[in-house]
Amino acid sequence: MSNVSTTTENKHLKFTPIQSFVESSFFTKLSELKLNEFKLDSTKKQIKGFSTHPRRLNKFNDHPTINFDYSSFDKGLNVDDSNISWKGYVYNVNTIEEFKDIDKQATLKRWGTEIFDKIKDSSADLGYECINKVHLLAFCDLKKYKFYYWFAFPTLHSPWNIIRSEEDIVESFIPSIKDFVDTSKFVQFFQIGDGNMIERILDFQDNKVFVFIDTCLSQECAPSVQLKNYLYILAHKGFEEIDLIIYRNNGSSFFWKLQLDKNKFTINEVPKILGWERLSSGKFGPRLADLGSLIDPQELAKQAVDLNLKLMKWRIAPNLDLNLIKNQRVLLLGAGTLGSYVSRALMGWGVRNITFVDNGRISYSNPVRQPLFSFKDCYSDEGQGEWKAIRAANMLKEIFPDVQSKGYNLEVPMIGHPVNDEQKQKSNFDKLSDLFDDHDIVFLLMDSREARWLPTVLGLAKDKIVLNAALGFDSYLVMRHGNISQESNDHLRLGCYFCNDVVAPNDSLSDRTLDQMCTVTRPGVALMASSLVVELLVSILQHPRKQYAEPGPANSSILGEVPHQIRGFLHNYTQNKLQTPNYKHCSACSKYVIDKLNELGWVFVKNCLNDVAYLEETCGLLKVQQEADLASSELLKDLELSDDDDSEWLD
Amino acid sequence: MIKDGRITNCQFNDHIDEFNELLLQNLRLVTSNSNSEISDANFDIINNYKKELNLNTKIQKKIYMLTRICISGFSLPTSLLVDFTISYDDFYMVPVLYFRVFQDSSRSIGGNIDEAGVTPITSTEELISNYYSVLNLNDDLNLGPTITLDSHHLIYDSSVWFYIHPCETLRTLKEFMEADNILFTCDSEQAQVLKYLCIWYATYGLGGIFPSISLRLSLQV
Repeated sequence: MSNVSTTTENKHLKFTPIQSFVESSFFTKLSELKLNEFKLDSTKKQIKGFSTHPRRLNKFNDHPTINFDYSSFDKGLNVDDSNISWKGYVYNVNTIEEFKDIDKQATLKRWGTEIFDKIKDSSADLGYECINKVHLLAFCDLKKYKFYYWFAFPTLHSPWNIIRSEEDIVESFIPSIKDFVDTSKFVQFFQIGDGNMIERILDFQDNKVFVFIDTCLSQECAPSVQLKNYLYILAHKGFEEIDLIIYRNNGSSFFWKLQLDKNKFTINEVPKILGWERLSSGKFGPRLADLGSLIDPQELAKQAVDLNLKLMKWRIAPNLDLNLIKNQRVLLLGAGTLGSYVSRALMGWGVRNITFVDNGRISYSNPVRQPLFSFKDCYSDEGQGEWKAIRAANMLKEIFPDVQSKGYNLEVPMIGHPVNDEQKQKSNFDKLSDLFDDHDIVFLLMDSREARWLPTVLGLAKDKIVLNAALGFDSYLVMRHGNISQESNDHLRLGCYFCNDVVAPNDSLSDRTLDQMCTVTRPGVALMASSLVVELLVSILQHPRKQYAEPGPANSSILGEVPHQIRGFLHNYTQNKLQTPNYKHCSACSKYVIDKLNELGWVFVKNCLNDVAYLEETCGLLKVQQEADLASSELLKDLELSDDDDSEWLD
Repeated sequence: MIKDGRITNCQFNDHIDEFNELLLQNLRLVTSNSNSEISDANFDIINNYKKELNLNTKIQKKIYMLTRICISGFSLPTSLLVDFTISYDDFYMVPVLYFRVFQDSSRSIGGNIDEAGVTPITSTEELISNYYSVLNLNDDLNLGPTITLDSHHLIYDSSVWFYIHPCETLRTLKEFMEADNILFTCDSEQAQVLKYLCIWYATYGLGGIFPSISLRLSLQV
């Protein structure tokens, strides 16, 4: 740090420059005022700074420091006993160009001249806050939370030389100065007589010792630059030779006998004015505080969400791979009750990429059960209600701006519902297929069984992690679908939602009564299933074998077991873990079906939609059914009475 | 005297100046011998002030001490500024630490306004990846006590600080304080409170987060 010095013929007077310290609440307060009060008004506004009271200084206060924080805009001068305050102004300009274009020298001269004019006015009573002032030039970039600022502490130059710096009398004055500093209202510059302090500049007398209360404890005999303004006043008032004690609380007070170089002093001319604060590199220039990460709400939410999860990692599970979870792209088929709760639980785990697919609009019964929607969503969009998928995606962003959420208003082709608009249904299929490609994980959260068929097939064909949650009135099923691994033991692969059926799913919607048309369940069931299915996903992701992890306690990961199915019942509050291998003739996950889909694509899907028998034939269920029919008819045949038997009976 | 292994707001207020003095005099950057790249690191106290709140009101007086330290050295990408406050939490009945870390590039680069700035670091990863050796952080991301981002309980604005959550402080400090050899009956209240605060500093204060910024006391306490 360089010291400002004035050159003299005799001994240099060295001063220690002031350092500003801005705690960021100063800037948050300034931006708040700019937004709500100042607006485009760039005229000067009062501020104040504070410094540690000289009686409290310690060896680390080697520079006079003026601090600024939220309290700098408070009206009035009240500060606590620990500090003294400095008055001044902030000039908050509206553009960075204005900030750069301001003539810094001329501005500083104007500020200095204000002090000069006050000194000239012989009637003015000059308190320390009037002499050493604070000026701040600032520009707030409120969009980026960047603050450009430059402080000036103007000082007036007067040509004094040190003619002597040793004096025995100093020690005798120290106790009374100390007492004055410790107990009286702060005065920075005064005269000391026979135990009396002369505080008013107007009352200063010849032949009495002056005292400057230093605001720093610099190593060398370089008092705070604030002394310069008092010296200028003395020169201006006609003092030519003075005795000065620079008082410090740590025993390093010192003495200067100073003489004014009259040849270099012109009383009516504005003197040389200095005061722009230097950067810590020593150069002159403005500072920049880039506080986005401390203030920007969006940034804060992002950091807080991540940090919250990290706490779990640090405290509970050090090996938790949070980035793996964060980077998953998740596709939610269904944006109803399950979709809402699942998305929220996923966000809780830090998942950032969530896509909804749904083809419904929000109805009046939805918001109470579906936490992403509210009353107004039921009648907006010209009274029809918002599209669920779109609104759900937007709502996630409202909850957490850093989430990448999208919504697709799309009908998933359903098995048992014949194709009646091929162009539309094919495009839905293509879109769905693309969405599968773009995501890592698929949740089946629709309200019907047949809507889950195609996603089950696609999920396996495209090797996605597929999770399924389904609700009964007071029961739920949460499961993961098995994935075909590279290993040859496919008969051990975990089953899917359809593996236990011996018929292909069919239209269950057409002939439903009113109570069956929406999912009629005890309301808490959806929350239970949603939380479980998300936790099951996280357990899968944290398992070293991921989706190929075998269920059961023998294959635990850091989060424990990775079950296949969880079934829960509310009528007796029980929950069971179940595990079933795939059924080789399953209408959704059998190899016959997957192979056919891979071979024929949409044509296969179309055929299945149009005729469930085609699917049953493809997967071999038809044959199984025929065999079963055959077996039962043979059994019947076995039970039939033969003619011989008949005759016996007749006897 | 300290009761139940904890100090009160009053005791905190009465002795924070002495603790602050102790802290300023004894705070050290302790470079571990095994790590040569940080042996050139410098440690400075840049600022230290005390704020008193609730003056002239009926509510009890609250105090916080704010300190800025600067750590610089050739092995660091930029100088590191650490601001921290020490205050007393009335609900948890313990001292609390709020802190911030800034990169200060203004010391090395001049002239270009956009680079001559002080930028906060709010990502723990960034802190660990660039400064873990000098701060003696664990590279397994374990920052010790529970850290959250929160607004400061005594500085009323919309910005955030790292905050060591005090949910465990009371119990842990009580255990330490009730250990046989900590407090002597002949200790003055000041001595007891200072001991308490020193232990707090090392566990839930700055030393609990950055073990290398250590309070090395000489024996006079």
